[in-house]
Amino acid sequence: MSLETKILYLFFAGYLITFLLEVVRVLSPTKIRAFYPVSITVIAVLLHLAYLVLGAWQSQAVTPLTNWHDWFSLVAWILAVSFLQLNYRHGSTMIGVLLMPMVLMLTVATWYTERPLIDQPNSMTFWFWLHALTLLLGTVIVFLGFVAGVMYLLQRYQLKHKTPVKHRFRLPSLEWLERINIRSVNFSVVMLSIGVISGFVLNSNSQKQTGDQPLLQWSQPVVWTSAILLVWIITILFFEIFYRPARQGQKVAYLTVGSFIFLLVVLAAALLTIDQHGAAADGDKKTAINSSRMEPMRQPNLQVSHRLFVMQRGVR
Amino acid sequence: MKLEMIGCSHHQSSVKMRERLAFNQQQATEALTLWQHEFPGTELVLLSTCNRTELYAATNNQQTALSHHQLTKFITNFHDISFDEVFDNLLHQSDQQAVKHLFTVAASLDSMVIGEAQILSQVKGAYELATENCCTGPVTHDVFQAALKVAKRVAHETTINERRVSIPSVAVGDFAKDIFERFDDKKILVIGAGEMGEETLRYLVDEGAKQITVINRSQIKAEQLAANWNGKAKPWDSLKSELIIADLVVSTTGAVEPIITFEEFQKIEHQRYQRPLFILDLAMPRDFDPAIGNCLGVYLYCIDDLQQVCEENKLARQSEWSGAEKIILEETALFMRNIHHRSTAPTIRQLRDSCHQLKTDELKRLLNKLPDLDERVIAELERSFDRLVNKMLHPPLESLRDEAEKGTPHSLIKALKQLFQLKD
Repeated sequence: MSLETKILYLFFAGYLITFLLEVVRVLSPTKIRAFYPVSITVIAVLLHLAYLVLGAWQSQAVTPLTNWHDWFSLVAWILAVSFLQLNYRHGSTMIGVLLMPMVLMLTVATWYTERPLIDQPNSMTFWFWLHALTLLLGTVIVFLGFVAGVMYLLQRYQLKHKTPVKHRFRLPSLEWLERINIRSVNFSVVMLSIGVISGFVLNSNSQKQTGDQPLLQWSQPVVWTSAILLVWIITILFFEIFYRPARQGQKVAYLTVGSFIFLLVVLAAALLTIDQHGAAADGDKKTAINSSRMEPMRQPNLQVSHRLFVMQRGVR
Repeated sequence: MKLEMIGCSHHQSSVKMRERLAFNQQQATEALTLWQHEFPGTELVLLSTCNRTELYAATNNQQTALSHHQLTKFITNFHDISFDEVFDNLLHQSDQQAVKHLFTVAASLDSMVIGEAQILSQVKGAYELATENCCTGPVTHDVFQAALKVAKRVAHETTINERRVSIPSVAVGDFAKDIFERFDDKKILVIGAGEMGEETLRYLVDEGAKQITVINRSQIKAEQLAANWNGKAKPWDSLKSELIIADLVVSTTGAVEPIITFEEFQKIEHQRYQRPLFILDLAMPRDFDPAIGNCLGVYLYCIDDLQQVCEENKLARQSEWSGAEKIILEETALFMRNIHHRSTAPTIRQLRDSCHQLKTDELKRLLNKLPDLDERVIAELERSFDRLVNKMLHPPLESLRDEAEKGTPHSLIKALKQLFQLKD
């Protein structure tokens, strides 16, 4: 097992322990002090940072963040840091219970994907970086908005139904949650729309360059789910401009939850189209994938690298 | 250490008596200054709230320790009240009992509303005022800092402070704060001039509320209430227009029928664009049609909803009582143990220094007589002398420490000083 993999398992374990401690804190507030999950998260975040740095240093032929592996890892790291920041202000609430599963999920996605062995041809272009960075920021804000949206709806339910205090989940105030939701919607609309459109431009440019097929077929699931995401973003804009109640309250919370679902579909479509060993038979695929995960640093295979490059262009 | 406490609280004194013995800020400062002149070398902290007045006098010197008669005389002279009238109505505690009492008060277990957090800041304020007026010293520093620490421990390890038990405090603390993050930018609408409404306003103003509008059928009463809280009074006719812009409504009229029906609210609802509206309907019968609570963005609470929460919280606090009391007993015992151990420290140090000096002198004399000894032998001799002194000191020091567990061992300390001729 490589050092990188060990570090990944360690910070994953740290995030998992944090999640479990947060669950216990929600169920029994006085049993565990906030100090413990926060301390464990700090250690996990530092390990995670070391993982990112080590990966960038070891994979010298690959520019950082130009691949799914780094991308998922960085999103997970930013969310873990966000947990620390949010916990500082609202430590007695159940933010950790909702946010940490996202971090865990993204860490699993990191483990599932593999860093390529060489850089992709278009990874130094303006459109590529615009596409990657705006989607990264948009994804982070959508995930945070989703957490705020769920908490808003839960808090609203508790207050509307006059749930007894002893049976209520501790949550931030509706006003604070609404503010986060509104910012999340506004910011994610900008970032995701730029991200999706720049992806279409990137794919279109690649088609012009090759003069034949684009890097990614327009019929691929990740492309049309991205198109649906763009339609959803336009719908949000429409609501915000013409329907005033959509700018506050539970309507905004629904929008953040909706954005999360659509984005999740796009990310799932992208993940499922990543094929690490396109040349292997289906029966050998799992073995090949597992063995490659355990040894990320192998000799470069140009044919495999090209397929990796093609599949990883599936982000739109 | 000598600590004396006298005081009165809602447990044993009437409101009238407490009012006569209370100190406002200015009086407290004057009393502390007077204390310094009358009893220099002794420490005093004066705690005065709406439900209690307590004096904590302390000294490390047994000779200057004050009796509770002297303390009572001080307070009655200050307020110009008859000594006999007051003496039997006051609670008196000394030393360990006084420490336990202070810890109990600071942890809000002695308050009229158990678990109310305000008392801690009042205890801290009293201690700081005494410090500013140079009335505190080592004993009061120790005991009040320990009291603050104990209160925090109780707050942290139990949930006794988290449950509110009065309707206005539940309304603001448990519900309004779950809806609004801040109150300084919120428009508060008070309908009616009832007592409960005013008390709720107090909690809201404590949270920073500034934009207060009062509406009442009687314009004069509305203006009086608004003047008390730096708000503005509006005529009754403007009720609906104020409801459109309000964020939080407190309603306490004496109306026999709802002042706002569901149909009336529906007419103005669309103008609010589903902005959150928190309505505290504290009137009986209700001022707002209950169906209004089903509207989007409206959180309508009546007095029954809040009363239920108060009762549940009272029971929850009761169940936390034993845990909190256990903490107080533990901390009191620990505090007293530390005080007693500290009282023996000077004597232990003197005894050790004295024996160490003897050892050093004898060793020097021996080494002068035996100049040809090598380094190894000298080192071994030094170690043997050290072991001898430690073994000889061990029984008396252990006895002293054991006695200190039960209380300050004055007689044993005196005996040790006499036996070993230790000078102060």
